[in-house]
Amino acid sequence: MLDAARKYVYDRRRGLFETSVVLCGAYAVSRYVNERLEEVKEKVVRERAARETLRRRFQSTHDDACFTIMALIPTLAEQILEEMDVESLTNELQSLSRASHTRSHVQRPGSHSESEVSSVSDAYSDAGSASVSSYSGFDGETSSNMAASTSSWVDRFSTSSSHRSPSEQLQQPHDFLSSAGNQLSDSITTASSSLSYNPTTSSHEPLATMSSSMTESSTRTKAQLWKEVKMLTLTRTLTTLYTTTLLSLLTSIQLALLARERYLASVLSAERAERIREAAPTLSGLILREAVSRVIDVEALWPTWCAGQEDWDEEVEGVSEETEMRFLTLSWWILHVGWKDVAARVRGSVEAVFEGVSLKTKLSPSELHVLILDVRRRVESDGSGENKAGRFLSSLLPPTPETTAHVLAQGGALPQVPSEHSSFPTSSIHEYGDSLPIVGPTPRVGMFPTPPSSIPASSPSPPSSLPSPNISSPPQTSTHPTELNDPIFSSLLSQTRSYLSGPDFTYALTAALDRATSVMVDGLRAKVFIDSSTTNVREGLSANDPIDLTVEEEVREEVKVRLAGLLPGLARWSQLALNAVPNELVDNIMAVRELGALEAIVMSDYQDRYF
Amino acid sequence: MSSMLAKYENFLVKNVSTISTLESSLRSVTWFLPGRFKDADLASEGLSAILNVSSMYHDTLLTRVVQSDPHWKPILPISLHTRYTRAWSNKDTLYKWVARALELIRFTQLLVEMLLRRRVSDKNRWRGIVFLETVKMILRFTLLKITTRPLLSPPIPERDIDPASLSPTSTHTSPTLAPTSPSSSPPPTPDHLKNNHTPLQPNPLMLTPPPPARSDTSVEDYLLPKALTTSSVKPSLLLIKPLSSPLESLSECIYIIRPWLYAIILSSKKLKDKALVTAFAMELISRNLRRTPSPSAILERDEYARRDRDLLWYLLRGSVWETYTRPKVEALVEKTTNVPIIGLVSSIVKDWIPLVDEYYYYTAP
Repeated sequence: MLDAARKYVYDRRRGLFETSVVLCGAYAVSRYVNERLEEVKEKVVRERAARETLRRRFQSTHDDACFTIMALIPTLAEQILEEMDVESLTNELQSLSRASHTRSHVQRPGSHSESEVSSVSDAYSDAGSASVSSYSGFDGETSSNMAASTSSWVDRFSTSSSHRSPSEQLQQPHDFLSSAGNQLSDSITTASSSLSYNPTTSSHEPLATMSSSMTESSTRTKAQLWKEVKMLTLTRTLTTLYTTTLLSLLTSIQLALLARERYLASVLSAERAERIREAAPTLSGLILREAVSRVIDVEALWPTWCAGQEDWDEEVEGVSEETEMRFLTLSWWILHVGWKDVAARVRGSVEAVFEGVSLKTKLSPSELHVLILDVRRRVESDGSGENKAGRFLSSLLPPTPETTAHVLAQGGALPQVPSEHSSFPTSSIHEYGDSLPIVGPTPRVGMFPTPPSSIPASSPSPPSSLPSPNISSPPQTSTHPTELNDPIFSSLLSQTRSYLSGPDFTYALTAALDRATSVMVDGLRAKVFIDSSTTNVREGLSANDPIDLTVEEEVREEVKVRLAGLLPGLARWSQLALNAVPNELVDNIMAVRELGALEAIVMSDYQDRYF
Repeated sequence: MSSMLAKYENFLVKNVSTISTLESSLRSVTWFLPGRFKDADLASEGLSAILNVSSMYHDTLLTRVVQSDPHWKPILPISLHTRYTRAWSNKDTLYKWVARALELIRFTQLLVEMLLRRRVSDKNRWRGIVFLETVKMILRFTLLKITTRPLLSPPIPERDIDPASLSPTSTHTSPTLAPTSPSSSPPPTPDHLKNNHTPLQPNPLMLTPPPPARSDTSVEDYLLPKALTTSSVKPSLLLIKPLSSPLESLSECIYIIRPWLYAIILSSKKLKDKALVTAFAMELISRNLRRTPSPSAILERDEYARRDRDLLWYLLRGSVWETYTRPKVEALVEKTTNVPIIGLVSSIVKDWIPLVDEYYYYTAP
C-alpha cells in the first residue's frame, strides 16, 4: 500500500514538483500583486486625504479673508467718510442754496423760465425739501455759472493748490477749501469781481443775491462748492474702489501666507506624530531585542542601533500667535496711512480727467465707464509705467523698518513695551479688538497720527499732526529692534513684499479692479441710470431720494444723466460700498477668479522647501 | 586638463538636450547589436557601458548646475528615491563615492567579464568575477555601515532633471556664447538683471482663461496637486527608518552576502545547482527576516517590491534556465518568428539567448 503510494508519487515526481512549483509561484505572484495593489490604494487614499485637507484649508482661508476684510472695512469707511465728507459739503451747498432760495423766492417771478430746464427739481426745491434743494439748486442755478466760469476758477484752484502736496489737500480738505474760499471770497464779495466772475452769465439769480449769499456763508462760491463736490465725490468713490480692492488683496495674501505656514506646520506635526508612532517598538520587537542583548552585547557590536534617533526631535516650527497678530497688524498701514496715499493719487487723476467734464455733461453709463477707466489708467500707470503694483507697494505696506515699527506700535501689536500704553492716548486704544476677531487688537485710531507725506523714507519722524504730545521716538527706537529680532515676522514681511511686487499680484489687481469698476458701474446703472417711467412712479413715493429727481426725462436706449445728477448716486454708492453689510463690492472682489488664483499661488508656494 | 574639463562641462550644459537625445538613441541601438556581427556583443556592451558611465558623469554635472541655479524649479516633484539618495550623498562624502563606485562596477561588470572571457582562461575569468563581487560586497557593507538602513538600488540619484527645462535659460543667459567659445564658465546674467528689461510673466494659472463652464476649478486644479503628504515633508534621511533590530540587520546582511556567495559557489564548476539553491534560500530567508515596512515608508516598500520582482531572475539562472525556461523561450521564439512585429522582438531575444548562456553577469543577482 505504502509502496504503491510511493511508487505512484515517484513516477509522477517530476509532474508533482512542477505543479507545486507553479502553485507556489502563482501564490507568490498573487501575493506580490495584492501587496502592490494595496500599496496603490493606500497611496491614493493618502493623496486624496492630503488634497482634501489642502482644499479645506484653502476654502477656509478664503472665507477668513472675507471676514477679515469685512471687519477691517469699517475702519477704512470711518476715515474715508470723515475725510472726504461729501455730505457736509452738500449740506453747506444746500444751506447756501436755501439761503439764496429764500431770497430768490421774493424775486422769483422772472426766474421761472429756468424751471423748464429742470422743472422737477425746482418744484421740489420750492417745496423746500432739504436734500433735494441742494441738487436742484445746482441744477437750476449754478451749473450755468459753472459751465461759463469753469476755467477761471479752476485756474485759481490749481494755482492755489499747486504749492500744496496732494496728500495735504486731502488730509485737510476743509482747511484747504476754507482757505481757498477765503482767498476767493475776498475777490468775490466785491460787486465788480462777482460780475467778472460771471461775465456771460444768463443767470436767473440776481447777482446781488448770489454775492450776498456768498457773504452770508462767507467762505466759498457755489461754483467752488460744486466743483469740490464733484471732485470729492468722484475721488471718494474711486478711492473706495481702490482701497477696498487693495485691502482685499493685501488681506488675502497675508492670510494665505499665514495659512500656508499653518498648513506646513500641521503637515510637519502630522509627520512627526506618525514618526513617533512608528518608532514605538512593538512588543515582540522589544522581547526579541531583550533576548538578543542577553546573548550578545548588541551595543558594543553596533552602537548605531540605539543611536539611530539623533535628529528626530527637531522642533516643528510654526508661526507663533503673536507673530501672526503682528503680521496682520500691518494692514494698519493701508487703513490709516496708505489709503491717503491712494486717495491723493486718485484725486490727481480724477482732477485731470474730470476737469474737462462739465457738470452739465450728460453721460451714459458706458461713457462714465470710459471716463473712469481713463482715471484708472492714470492712477495705475503714470510715472515709469509698467509695474502698476509696485506703485501701490508703499501704500500697502510700511516702506521702512522704522515705519513698520511705528505701525506695530500704533496697531498695538507690541504689548511688550511698557512705555507704550502710557505714551498713547487712551482714545486711540479704547476700541481695542472690537469687531476684529482675527486681527486682534487693531485700534481704530480715529485721528491719523502720521500723514504719509510727513514720513520720509529715511527717518522715523515723530507724528506731527497729532495734537497730543504723546508719541515721540522712544517707542520706535525701542520697538525697532524687536521687529528685527523676529526672523519669522521679517521673512513674512519680505515675502509679502515680494508677492505684492510680483507679476501675479499685478495681474490679480487689474482683474479685481476691473471687477470692482464694473460692479460700480452696474450699481449706478441700476440705481441712477433708470429711465423716467419708473422714476415718475417712484418720485411720488420717495420724494426725498435725490437720485430719482435727477434722472433725465427722456427714455432712451441708454439713459443719459448729467454728471451733476450722478454725483449723489456716486456718493451714496461709495457710502454703501463702505458700510453695507453684506458688502457687495467686497463679495465681488473676493469672487474674482484671479484673486483666488493669487491666494492659491501664495498658499502653495512651498515648492522650494518641500517636494 | 582642468580647462579641458571646464570646456567640456560648458559644452555639455549648453547642449544638454542634444546630448540626452543622443544618449537615448545610442542606448536603443545597443539592444539590436548582439549577434549582428562578430564581437557585436562586446561592441554593444562597451557602448552601453560607456553611455552609462558618461551619463552618470553628466548627472553629477547637471546636479551641480541645478544646485548652483537658485531659480531652477523641478517641473515634476523630485522623487523620494532621489531625495533620499541625494541627501545621503550630500551628507556623507564617503557614501557618495562608495555609491558611485558601486554604480560604476554595475555598469562595467559585464564588459569586464566579456573582456576577461576573450583574453584569459575560464578559471581566471571566474576569479575576476569573484573579485568584482567581493569588492561590491565590501562597498555595500560600507554603505550599510554608513546608513544603517536597508540599501536602495541604485544608491545614487537617478536622472530626474529634464534637460529641456534647463536649456532655455542657459541659451538665454549668454546667447553669444557658442559651445566652442574659448572662455570657460562665463558668468551668466543674473535673473534679476534680466527682469529689468523683460517684465516677469505672471504665473500661467493667471493667464489661463477661465473655462466657460459655470464651476471654475482651475484654481483648485492648480492647488491640489501640490498637497503635501507626510512623506513629502519628512526629512530626507528619515525616508527610510534605520534598522532597529538585529534580525533586520541580519536580513540585510544576508541579502548583501548572497550574490557573493552565489558567485563563489558557481566558480567551482561542479556545484551549479547548489549555488542556485543556496542563493535562493538566502533570498527567502532575508525576505522573511526583513521588517514589514510601515504604510508611510513608501521608499522602503518600493525597494522591497523591487527585490521581490528580482526573484524572477531565478528563472534565467542555472539549471532552471537550462531545463525549464530556455526550452520554453526557444519554443516561443520559434513560434513567433513569422508574426510581423513580435517577430522582430523574438529575433532579438533569440540573439540574446546564447549570451545568457555564456555570461555570468547577464543574469547575476
